[in-house]
Amino acid sequence: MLISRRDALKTGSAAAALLGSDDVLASAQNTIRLGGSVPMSGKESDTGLNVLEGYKVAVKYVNEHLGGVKVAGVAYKLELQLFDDASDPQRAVTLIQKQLDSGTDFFLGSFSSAIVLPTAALTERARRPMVQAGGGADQIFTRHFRYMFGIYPRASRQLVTLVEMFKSMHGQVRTCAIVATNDPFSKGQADGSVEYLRAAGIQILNTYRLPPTLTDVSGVVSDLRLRTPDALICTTHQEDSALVTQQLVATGTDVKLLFLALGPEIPAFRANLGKYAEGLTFNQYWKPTYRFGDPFFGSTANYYNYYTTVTDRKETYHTAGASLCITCYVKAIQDAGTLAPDKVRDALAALNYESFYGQVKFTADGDGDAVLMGAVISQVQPSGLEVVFPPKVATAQLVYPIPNWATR
Amino acid sequence: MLDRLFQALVDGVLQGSVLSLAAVGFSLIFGVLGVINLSHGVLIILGAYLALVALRTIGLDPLLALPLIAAICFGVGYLYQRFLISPAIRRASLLSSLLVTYGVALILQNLFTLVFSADNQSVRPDYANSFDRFGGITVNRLQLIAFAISCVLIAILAWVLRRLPIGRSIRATAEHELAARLCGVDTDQIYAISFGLSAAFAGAAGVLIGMLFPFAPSSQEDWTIFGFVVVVLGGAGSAAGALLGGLLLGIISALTGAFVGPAYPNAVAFLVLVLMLLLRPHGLLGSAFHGSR
Amino acid sequence: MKRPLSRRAVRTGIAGAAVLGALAVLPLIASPFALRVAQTILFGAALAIAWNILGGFAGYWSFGSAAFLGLGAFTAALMQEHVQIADPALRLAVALAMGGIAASLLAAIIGYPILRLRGAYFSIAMLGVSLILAELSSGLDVFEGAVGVTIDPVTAAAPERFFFYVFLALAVIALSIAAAVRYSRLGYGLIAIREDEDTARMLGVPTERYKLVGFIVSALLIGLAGAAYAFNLGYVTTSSVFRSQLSFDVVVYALLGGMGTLAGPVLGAAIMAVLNQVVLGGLLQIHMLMTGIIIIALVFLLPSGLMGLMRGHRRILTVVGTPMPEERAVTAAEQPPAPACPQTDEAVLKLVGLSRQFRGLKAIDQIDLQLRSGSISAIIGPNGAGKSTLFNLVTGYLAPNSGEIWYQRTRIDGLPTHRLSRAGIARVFQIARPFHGLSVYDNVLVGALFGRDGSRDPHQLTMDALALARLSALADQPAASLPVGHLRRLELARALATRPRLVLADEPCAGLNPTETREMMDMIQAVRRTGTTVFLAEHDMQAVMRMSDVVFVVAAGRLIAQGPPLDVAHDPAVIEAYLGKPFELGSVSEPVR
Repeated sequence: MLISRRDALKTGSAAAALLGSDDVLASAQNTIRLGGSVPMSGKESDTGLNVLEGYKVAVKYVNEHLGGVKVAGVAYKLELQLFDDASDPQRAVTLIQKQLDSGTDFFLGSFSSAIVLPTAALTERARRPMVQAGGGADQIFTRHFRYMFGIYPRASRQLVTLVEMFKSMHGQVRTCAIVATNDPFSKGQADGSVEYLRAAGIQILNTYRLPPTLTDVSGVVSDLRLRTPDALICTTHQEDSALVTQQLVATGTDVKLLFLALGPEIPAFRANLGKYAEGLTFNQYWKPTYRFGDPFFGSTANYYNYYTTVTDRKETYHTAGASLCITCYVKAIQDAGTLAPDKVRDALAALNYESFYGQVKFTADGDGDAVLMGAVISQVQPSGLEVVFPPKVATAQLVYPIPNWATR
Repeated sequence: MLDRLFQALVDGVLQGSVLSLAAVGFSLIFGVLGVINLSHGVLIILGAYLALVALRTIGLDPLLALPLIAAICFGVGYLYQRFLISPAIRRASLLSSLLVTYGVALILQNLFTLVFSADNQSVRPDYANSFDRFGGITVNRLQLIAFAISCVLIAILAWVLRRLPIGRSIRATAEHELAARLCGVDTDQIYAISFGLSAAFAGAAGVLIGMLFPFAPSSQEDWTIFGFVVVVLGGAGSAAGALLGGLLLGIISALTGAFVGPAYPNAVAFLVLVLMLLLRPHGLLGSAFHGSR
Repeated sequence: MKRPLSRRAVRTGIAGAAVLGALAVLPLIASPFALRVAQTILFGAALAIAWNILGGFAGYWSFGSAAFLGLGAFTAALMQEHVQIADPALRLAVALAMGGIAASLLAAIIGYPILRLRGAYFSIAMLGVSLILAELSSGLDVFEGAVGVTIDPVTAAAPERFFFYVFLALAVIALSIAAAVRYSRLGYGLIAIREDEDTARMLGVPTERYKLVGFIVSALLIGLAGAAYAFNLGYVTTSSVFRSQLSFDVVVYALLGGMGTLAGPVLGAAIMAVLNQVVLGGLLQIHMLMTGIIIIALVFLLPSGLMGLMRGHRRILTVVGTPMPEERAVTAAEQPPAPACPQTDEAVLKLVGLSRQFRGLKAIDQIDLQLRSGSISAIIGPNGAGKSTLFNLVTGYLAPNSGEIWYQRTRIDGLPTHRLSRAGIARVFQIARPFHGLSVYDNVLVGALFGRDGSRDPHQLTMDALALARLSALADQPAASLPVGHLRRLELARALATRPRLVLADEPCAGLNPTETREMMDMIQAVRRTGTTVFLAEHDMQAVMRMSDVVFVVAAGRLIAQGPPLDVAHDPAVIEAYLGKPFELGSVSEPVR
C-alpha cells in the first residue's frame, strides 16, 4: 500500500510535468511526441496504470541511456503526452483529436477495447500509426486498420497455447468448464477457445457467463461442485478472477487445474489470495527470466533490471507489453530512417526482430502473431511464477492436479 | 436438484443479510431526510479500506476493527451532513443534495485511487476460507459470521429506533419535522445523527464486504445501486424493511444464478425491483417516513 | 400585461438565429478539436433538453436515460449491420430513425405503469429499467453487447465536421420541440403536474396522457441522440452506452444549468463538457476528483442553477400567445346547453343510491340527493360524516362501490377527474393547494387553459377570475407569498377560471377570520350570480344558514335530513346527531339572496 501511494505521488508529479510540457513549439525541434490516452482513473485504471508505467520506463531508458532516437544523424528525444481517458470513449476521442490537431504523429494505445477501437479509427483516418498493448477484441483487428498494431494476439486466439498444453497432457484433462464475463475481451477469448477445445477432444461441461457488473458467483461455484470439470478456464478480468477463486476456496470446491486469464500475473492479486494463489495457471505474455536479446536493452534481464531500478510498481506482462510498444516505435523509426508516419507505419508492419519480449511480428491485420507473440502458460509455484508450457521455454513442471484447498 | 435449491437458498440468505446491512443506512437517510445518498457506496468502500489499513498497518483483525471503523464512519457521516449536505440543502434545495452526494462520490472514489491505487483488494484472514458441509450443502464460516453480525447490527438499529429516546426523536423528525421541532427536538442534530448512523452502518458493512468480495474504488457505484434495490424491495426507513429487502435480493440473485444463468441475477433483481414498484410502490413493509412518500 | 410575447419572441428568435448561424459556420474556422468539444456539448445538450421535458417541466426525474440512449444506440448499430443499405447517408438516416422509434416504443410500453410512480420511486424504477436493459444487452446474444457491434463509417467527410452537424441538428430539433412543448398547453399542463399533480387533475389537466406524451417525446429524442452517438464512436458495447454514469450526468447538466428552463440544460452540458475536456483535459488522475469539487462548489455558488442568475421572480408561465385552440372537440354528451337563466328546476347533480366503503367502514351509505341548477346547497355533518368522501366521489378522485352519479344528463361516476373538469365541475380544496412555484396569475391561468370550453381567451378568463376574487393587484406575486385568506381566494379564482357549472367548495371559510369569512361569502354569492351552482361543505353554521338554499345533513355516511336551512335546523334528528340544540340565527331570519 505504501508502495502504491508513493507511486501515486509520482504519477501526480508526472502529471504536473506533462502539464508543463504542453508548450509544443519550444520543444518541437528535437522531440518525437508520442500521444494517446490511458485510463488512470475509473474502472479500468488498475491495468491502465500498469500500461502507463511500461510506457514511462521505456521512454526514460531511450532518452537517458540511448540518447534518444537518431534519424538521419539527428538525435530526437521521446516525449510522452498521455492523458487520462477515465474509460470514457467520448473524452478519449476528443483529446486524441486535440493531439492530432497539434501535430502529434505517433500514438500509443489505451486499455480496453471500448476505448482502443474508436480512438484507433481516428488515428487510422489521419494516417497516423498507433501501437497498443491494451485492446484485444477481435473487432479491432477485423476492420482492416492499416496503421494500428497490437502487441497481443486478438482475443479469440489467446487460448491457443492453453489448449496445446491440454493436448500435450495425454488425456489428463478430459473435461473443462469456462467462466467468461460479458465483455469484448473476456467473451471473445471464451468464444474463440471453444473451437480449439473441441478440436482437442476436450468436453466442455458448461460455459458460465457473468454480467459485467459485480455479482456473486456462489451459484456457479455450487454448480461446479456438482459437475466438477478437470480444468476450470476463467477468461475473466482481475475482479471476477479473484471472486471466483475466493469462493472456490471458501467452499472447498476443488478442480485439478484453475486457469485465470487475468489476475495471477499481478502481485497484489497473489498477495490477497496468499497461499491459495499457489497452483493457479495463467497466460503469461512475458516474464523477466526470458533469455531474449534486445537491440536496445541488450537482453530481457537488462530490461528487467532497469525496470526495477526506476520504478516501484511491480512488473506485469502489461508493463512489458507497453514498454515494447515504445521500442517497436524506436526500431521502426530507425529502420525507416525518417519520421514520416507512412514510412514508419510500413516499417512497423515489416518488423521481425528479437526483443526482450520475444520475437516481434505483426499479422497483416495488425495483431501480434499468435505463435510468436502469443502467451506461454505459467503457474504460481512456491519458487515464484514458473513457465510450464511450451516445453521449449518451460522453467518448471506443471503441478497437476493442484493441491486441495483444504489441505493447504 | 433439491440440494441445489437448498444451497441456493442458503447462499441467498447469507449474501442477502450483508446486502441488508449495506443498504440499511441508505434506507434510513432516504426515509428520514428524503435524501438519495449517491455517496452511500463510497462510504461502504471507505469501511473496506479502513479494514485493509487496520490489518496491514497494525495487524488488527477486521472483525475486531469493525466497531472502531463504524465509530469513525459515524463521525465522518455526522460531519458530512452538518457541514456539507445540510448547508447545501439550506442554500439551494433538497434536490441539490443529489448533486452534492454525486460530487462527493466522485471525489472520494478518485481519492481512494490515488491513495490505495486502483488495484483490487481483499481483506481475508485465515478463517475466511474454512467451511462446513451439512449433507450436500456447503456453508462458508465467514459468511455465517457475516450473517450473524449483520442480523445483530440491524436488530440493534431497530431497537435504537424503537426504544431509545434518540430513536423516537429520529422517527418523530422523519414523520413531521416542524412538529418535532415544536416539541423541542433539535432536528438539525437529529439529521446529523441519522446521517452518522447511516455512515456507521455503511462502514460496518464495508468491513464485511471487504472480507467477502474483492473491492476497488470503482466498486462503489454497484453498492449504491444495491442500496436502491433493497430500499424499494423492503420499503424506506425501517430496519426490518431493509433486512427483508436485502434477503429478498440475495435469494432472488442466488436462485436466478442457479437456475436461470449466472449472467442474469442482476437483470432479474432489477426486474423484480421495477415490478415491485408498480405493484407495491412503498415496498413490502410500507414506507415508514415522509421523505420517501 | 397583454401579450408582451411578440416582442420577446422576436428578440429570442433573432438571438437564436444568430447563434445558429454562428454555429453553422463554426466548422469553417474551428479546429477539429474544438469541433469535437462542441460535439460533446451538443450531444449532452440534446440529452439534457430531452430529459428536461419530463424531468424539468413535469418534475418526473428519470435516473434511467441510459436505457433510451443505449437502446437507440444498439438498435441503430444492429440495424446498419443486418439491413444492407448501400447509400451511407440513407443508412445513417434509417438507423437514426429506428433508434428513435425503438426508444419511444419502449417508453410507450412502460410509460403508463411506470408514470404512476411519483418522486424518487419513479427515478429508481427508471434506473432499474436501464440496468435491466444493460444486463440484457450483454447477456443476450442477439444484442451482441458483450463483444460489441462495429459500425462502418458513413461519410467520406471529416467525421468531426460531419457529426458536428448531426449533433447540431439533433440539439436544434430537441430545443425546438422543447420550446414548442413549453409554450403549448402540454407545457403548461406538465408544469402544473410538477407543481401539484392532484390539483392539476382537478383543473382539467389530462395528467396521465400528458405525462405519457412528455415521456415518449423525451425518449424519442434520447434514442436519436444515442443512435448518433453510436455512429460517431463506430463501436457500441454495453459498457460504452449503458453506463449509469451517463444517466446521472444528464441530471447534473439540467440541475447545474437550471431545472425546467429551456436554455439551462444547454448551459449545464456546455459547462461540464468544457470542464471535462478542455479545462481539466490535461489533468491526469485528478480530473474526476476536480470535477466533483467543482460540482459541489457550483451548488453553493449557483443554488438555482445558471439560469437562476438571470431570472428574477418572473412569471414562470409568462404569457399566452394567441388564444389556445380547443385541443379536442367536447363530445355532445359533455356539452349541455348553457343554463338559460339562474335557478331552474333542472338537477345539475343527482346522486342515486351512492355508496362507498373503506375496508368495511361505510363512509357513504346509500345517499340520494339532487342539486338544483343555480342554487347554493350546503352539506353539513359532524367530522367523519363523509362530506369529503362525497366530494371525492363526485370529482372522480374515488370511485363509488355502488350507486350512480349524474351530472346534468350524463352519468359521470368512474370518469377521470380531468374530464369532469372539462365538463364543468370544479373544486376548492379544504386545505388550499396553490401551485407554490407559480405566480398568482399563472395559478389561475392553468385553470383557464384547461377548464371547460377552452375557446375563450384564457388571458381574459384569468383576469376576470382574478377580479372576482379581488386578487388583480397581486397577479404577479408568487403564490407562496400569499397569506392564508388570500390563498383561499386564489383557490376560488382558479376554480372559477375553469368556467365551471358546478363548484364544490370544501370548507371555504375554515380558518378565516370573520371579515375574511364575510368576503368569502360575498364571493360565493357572486359566483352563483354568474349562473354557477355551488355545493358547499361547511362547519360555519352562520355561513350555511345565510347563504344556502338547501341544506343536506349527513351523519355516519347517511343522509339524515334535507331541506331549507330553517327547517333542517329544527329537525330533531339533526339536532340529536349534529347540532346539539336548535340553531338560532339571531338577527337574520331570511337567507340572504
